[in-house]
Amino acid sequence: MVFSSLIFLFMFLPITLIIYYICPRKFKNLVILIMSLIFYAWGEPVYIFLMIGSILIDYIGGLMIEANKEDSEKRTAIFITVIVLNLSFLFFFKYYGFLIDNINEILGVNLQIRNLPLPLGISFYTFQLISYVADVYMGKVVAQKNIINFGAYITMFPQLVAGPIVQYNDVEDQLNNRIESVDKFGEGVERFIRGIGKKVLIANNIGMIWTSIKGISVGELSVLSAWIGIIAFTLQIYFDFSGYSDMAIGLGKMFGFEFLENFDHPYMSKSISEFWRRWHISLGSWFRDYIYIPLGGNRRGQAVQFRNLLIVWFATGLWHGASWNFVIWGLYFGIFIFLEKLFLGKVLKKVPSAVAHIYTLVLVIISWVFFDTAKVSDALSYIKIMFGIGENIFIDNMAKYTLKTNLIILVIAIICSTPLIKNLIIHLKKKYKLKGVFIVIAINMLVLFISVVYLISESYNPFLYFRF
Amino acid sequence: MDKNNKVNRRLMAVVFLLFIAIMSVSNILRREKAFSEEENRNLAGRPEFSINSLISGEYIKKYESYISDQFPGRSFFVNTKAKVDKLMGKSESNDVFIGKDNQLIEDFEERSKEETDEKVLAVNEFVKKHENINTNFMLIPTATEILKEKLPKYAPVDSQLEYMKYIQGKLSSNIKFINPYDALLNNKDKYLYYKTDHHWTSQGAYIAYVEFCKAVGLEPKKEGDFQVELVANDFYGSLTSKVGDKRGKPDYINVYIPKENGEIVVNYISEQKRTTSLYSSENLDKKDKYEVFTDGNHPHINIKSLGDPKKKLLIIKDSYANSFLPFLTSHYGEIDVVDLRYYMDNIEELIKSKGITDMLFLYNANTFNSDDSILNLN
Repeated sequence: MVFSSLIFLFMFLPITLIIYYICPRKFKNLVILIMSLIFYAWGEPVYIFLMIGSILIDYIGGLMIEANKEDSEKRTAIFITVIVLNLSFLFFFKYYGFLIDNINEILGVNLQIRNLPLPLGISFYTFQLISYVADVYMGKVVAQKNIINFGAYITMFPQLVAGPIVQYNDVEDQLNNRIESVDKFGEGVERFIRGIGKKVLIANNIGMIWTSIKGISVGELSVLSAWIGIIAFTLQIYFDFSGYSDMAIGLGKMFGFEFLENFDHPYMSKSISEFWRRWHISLGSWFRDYIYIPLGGNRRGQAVQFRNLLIVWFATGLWHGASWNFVIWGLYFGIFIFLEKLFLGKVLKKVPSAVAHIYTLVLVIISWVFFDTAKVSDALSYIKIMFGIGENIFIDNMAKYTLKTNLIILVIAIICSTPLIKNLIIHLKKKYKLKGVFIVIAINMLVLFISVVYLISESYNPFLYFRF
Repeated sequence: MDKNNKVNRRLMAVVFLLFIAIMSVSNILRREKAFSEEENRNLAGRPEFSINSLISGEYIKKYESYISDQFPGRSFFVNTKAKVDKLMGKSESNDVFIGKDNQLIEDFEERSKEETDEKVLAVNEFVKKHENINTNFMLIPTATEILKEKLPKYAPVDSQLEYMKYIQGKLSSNIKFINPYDALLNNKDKYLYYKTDHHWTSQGAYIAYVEFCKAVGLEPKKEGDFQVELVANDFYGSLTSKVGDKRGKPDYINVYIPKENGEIVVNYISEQKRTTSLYSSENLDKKDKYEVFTDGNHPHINIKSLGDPKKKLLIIKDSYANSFLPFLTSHYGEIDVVDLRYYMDNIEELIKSKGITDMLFLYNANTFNSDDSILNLN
């Protein structure tokens, strides 16, 4: 199930809220677990058993690691077994086909496999499972004795399918002691509405620009169209993903949870390193805490650091999808981050901040070409067009038309990717006091209402001729 | 400040819960509808549950379309969306452009040359089997081409004229290609196309009829030979549905009735219905008032008239023919009208049993481009 759907908003959410708030404290996590399983099963009625199996493995694994506190060899063996199991599930469903393709390519053989659909959210919940057993193994947390609490942690529907990736040590306490309140609920509502507005009103509307420009063959693309297209995608992916995180964080609050932030106006960054501290923060933290630092981070000299960065960014790329373009996309960032650590960072601090900002934005925009173009050679020819290398004309009717009809939404999107609106709301409330509060609530409800209008209209599909 | 924040959050919580509650309850209490006139399709009903359909994901998909199809106040929401889109400066919706003077215009995106070639080849091969029949092919530009200047600025639309010329070049030489483009363009300030529907008007059809007669050597009737009757002035057609919002004034529909020798017998073969008119006035109370012409699209219509009994015409057509037929009846003793999108019988047998002497392919450029049913010819 997705949050931005009628079924979620007007069936699943009200039912879950009613049951959750009627039930006494000790059953609340059970309610979360059951409802989350239903939430997951709605989109993934088969692979739900894979997820339940993974949960059981890590639950038992955690308990066994703790039971063998004294025997360090044994607990390490258990730890490794659990990690290998987790990763092999992920590998089998996400990367097996990719591996076979590469073997076929390299060895010139023709192995056939049946392409399995990717289980929903497997990349996210596998990382949460690993964070748990790793935390137990490193002694950061005690193992969770209660399977319901543990199940609730992994499956929690607000963050189950698209993050944020909640580390166990961040919510351990909240699983048993969290306080729901009307205030927190209201805060959650505001956050949820911000998210649904970002997703339904901005991301979905802008998404059409990139789809249509991506569909044009390379020869017929104008320079301006190329830029409009990829800038639209730049905005779309931010609003889509951060909108989802906003909804997740908001829903978490409605049920008394506090998740860490996942996005912090990434397009305001003045370096690539800063960008990755503001973009998908929970993923960056996960790689830092469970790969980069255990490998020695930056404490063992530049050569090791370089190796560590390569590993982390190779993995970050691959995590986003089983295809080489994602790997290149990851390494691309890794290289710039390494350069920034070497000397570029210092330069960026000295130059005017507008220059640093433009440097970051241009690199990020180019990165999205790699991200959303399956073939690397296609990505390169697209980038060539962007920089006017080749015969393509600078401007055509397609570009003019796209710009003309999408100008308002593009401007709104750009404004909303800065902290401007946030500051405006604070200002409104400060200046107009209670009146300001009413204005803010009215705006929120308007955003929610129009989002619902769009969701209902999605299925509007008139036919010219009656279809039998 | 802190107090205001408290008020803010609490009030937000209450208003949100109220909104969700109202929407959820009205969703439970709504009445189900089977058919949507605006969308011209059956709405999804509650799907039947089975373990298999759940596992395959079919059930979930169907349930989701059931909920959105049946959502209470759906047309209000769709209409609101169209208004919001307008506010946002969008001039396109569901592949329909909102042009100047509220003229709605369908997009035209030419399909690949291979696909077009395949269709033309189907026509050529079919005609080759019937060399003794006079065959004409009339391709009609739609408003997208003739009213091009009403399109939103820079709208990326392919040229129908080039498409039509391409087809003309590919058709075999024993097929006479009739192109009413010039005649329609010269009259573009007249009411040739509806503003809210994707069809042409009776007047547009008349102009093409004159061109048709010139090409095949018939004496066209004068406009004065017909009585022009206004039968509807509140027509919002298919393109309004696509946009989801009524823009500007509704269309009106004129029908042309011959002043003399208008007696005909119309036989809707598969429906087993017989009438004496090509106009079906009960459709004027429905939403799709263009169905006043031949009661909409049918697999096969047979028309007998007082025209030349030796001339028997077969028309293979789309819905543009529906308003064109009334002009032809006086020239042919018998006309068989076949719509390949719905026709399932053997067309060869039809030709043989009827003793067809003339054949006309009549399509608008948009249907010929987008529809594949012509491939069923052979």
